[in-house]
Amino acid sequence: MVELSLIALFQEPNFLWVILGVCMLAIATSCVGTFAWLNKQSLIGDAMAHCALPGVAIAFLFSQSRHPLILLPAAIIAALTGNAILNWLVRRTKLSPDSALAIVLSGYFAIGAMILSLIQKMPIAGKAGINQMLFGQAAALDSLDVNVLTITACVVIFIVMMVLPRLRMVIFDSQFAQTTGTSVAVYKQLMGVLIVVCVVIGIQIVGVVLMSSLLIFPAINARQWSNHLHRLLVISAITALLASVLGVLISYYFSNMPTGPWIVVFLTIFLLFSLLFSPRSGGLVKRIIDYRQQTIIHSENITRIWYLLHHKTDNKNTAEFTKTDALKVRSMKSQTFNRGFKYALKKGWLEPWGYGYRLSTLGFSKAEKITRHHRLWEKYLSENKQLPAQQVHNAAEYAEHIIDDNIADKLDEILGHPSLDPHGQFIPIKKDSSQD
Amino acid sequence: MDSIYLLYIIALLASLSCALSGTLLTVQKKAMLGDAISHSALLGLVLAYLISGERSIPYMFLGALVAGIGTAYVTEKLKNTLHIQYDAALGVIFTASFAVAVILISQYARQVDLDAQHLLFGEIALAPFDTILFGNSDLGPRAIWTLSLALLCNIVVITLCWNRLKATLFSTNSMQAIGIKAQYWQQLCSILVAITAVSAFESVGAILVVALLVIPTNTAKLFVKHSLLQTIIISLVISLITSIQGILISFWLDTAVAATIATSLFVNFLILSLIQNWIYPSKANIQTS
Repeated sequence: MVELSLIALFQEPNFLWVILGVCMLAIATSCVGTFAWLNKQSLIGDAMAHCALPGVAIAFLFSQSRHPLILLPAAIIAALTGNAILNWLVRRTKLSPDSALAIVLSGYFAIGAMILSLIQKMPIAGKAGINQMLFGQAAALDSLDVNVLTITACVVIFIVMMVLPRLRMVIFDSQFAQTTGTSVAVYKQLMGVLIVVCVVIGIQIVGVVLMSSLLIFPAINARQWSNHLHRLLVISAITALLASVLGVLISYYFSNMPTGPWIVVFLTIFLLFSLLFSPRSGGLVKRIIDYRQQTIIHSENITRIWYLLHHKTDNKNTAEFTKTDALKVRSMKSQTFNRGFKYALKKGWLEPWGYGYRLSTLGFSKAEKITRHHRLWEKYLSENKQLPAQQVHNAAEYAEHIIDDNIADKLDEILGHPSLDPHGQFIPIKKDSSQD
Repeated sequence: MDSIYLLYIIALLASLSCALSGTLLTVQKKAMLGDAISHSALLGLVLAYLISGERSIPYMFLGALVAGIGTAYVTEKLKNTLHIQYDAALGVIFTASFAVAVILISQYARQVDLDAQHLLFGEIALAPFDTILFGNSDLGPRAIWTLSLALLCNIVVITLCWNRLKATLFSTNSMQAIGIKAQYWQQLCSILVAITAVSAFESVGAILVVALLVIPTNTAKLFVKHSLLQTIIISLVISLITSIQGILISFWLDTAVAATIATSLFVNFLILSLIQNWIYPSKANIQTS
């Protein structure tokens, strides 16, 4: 394993060219990928990458050279025929698009694998390099490869920039595009060609199997942060750029490491970060907080059930009730009930007693407080907002968990310290905090 | 026994079990799930290898199976909870796990006697020589045992749950409205596919697995209108004939067996779809429009 220091790596001119080429590739691929993803064709890149394999294999078999100007056009032609077959299958047969995709993908890859197995048995020089197509190796690129890569990527970016407004119209509202005289079919074809070109030049770095990830990961990642097309494109370009530069660095630094998988690992890390922490589309952290909040609300409701039961029974001596008694008062899903019930037990609001459970002192004051908030809010809605008494209950069900002591005191003051709520039930009096 | 006959048996077992579970997969419009499972199973294999520290077959099979079922489950979760498109979620899961697997293989190249390339292409021709030894007796190739088990699983589950599977796969919404938990039956299908794909891909390679899962049923679907039973039977016949055809061609051209079978599946499919389109051109157009 040859290890270079990072500084020495940056002083190498070839390395800087590779980094530049990779940056251009990342920008081009992420833009095209975002459009593919918006068009609900996420896996098209995967199929096109596999379709390129027989092109490369056949070109190598006949030319016996690895010149990029022979292999790349052959790969592009093969992928375009794959794309044409895919479109034909979707349009002209009753097969579903995903089946057509899987068929073309596996069929073309099988043809490629068949020809590669022929090549393996032939005495051709440089046949080992062909296998690098599978997982990608940036370190294996020479200056000609890099030049072709950079120029092609720049052309793709330029074309995307030129047709951006039209492409946007075609993808988001194809019927509207048609009425404005834009040929939807032409632009869809153009997009297919752009995807094929991006995928084919990217294969050298990311590899056949993982090429689709450079198309879809940045788009999904960007979607977690924005829903505006321009921002989507910029964020996805930045994501792809960072991940590919880091991946190339690692594969240069540790010589036994393949480039493509590391790029995918960095893309995955970025995506995980976005899914966990982005405020949009419900990040996981936000979901966990929501879930916890819901549990607290359920457990407060359950504690209140015990309080209501306690006040409802004619026999005030019994304080213990079972879960069944509670569910008779207020129907809840058993799953949510158990969730809240466990939380109430953990908090010590309820405690096991006799054949069931009873309120603890803590739970009693908690339930009393919530009941007070609930009934004050009902009173407020019916008095000051002139809502009929039968409409205020549901609103109060929400408000009781939100109102804090200060608001409750203010409500109490505004309403002039009422003793009964609109349903004729008593409103608990606030205890001094010194009593708690 | 002659290794050529064993080769036929392995190819036939693989194509039969794949055709069975592939039909269930295609009906659900989840054809790419087979591709994803066979890629991410590599991560399960590598992890099982690293944890158990040896090439122990049950561990590795279990690892791959868990990875395969996990892929199906996590994709479903990503789609339902985070609202990511199904195929995008699939692409994310399988590329990420495949990437990690390739990195682990290159990092622990000395310990791990696995080759990602080999698992992708598969070399069915070597499968007859990978035999199970029990004590001193040779129990025959491992691939035959695992594939027979997979085939048995497929047959048992499909015959036992035939009505439920048919109902839930074709009209998920109406079944859900009656109160049948359609998602459980769909998960059962995913598990079945994972078992089949994992037991097949070690010997025949990931790509042939995808081809065997998807192509025969879709070839059958070109000609069958509405019958699941007919689709399954025709796809079984197609995969049987094509496997033999592929093996023969591979002997003739001296190419890789698995790749040649998949290629002949693909070529047969293309020819048949052209013929179908030529016979009933208008019909197909009406159905798509």
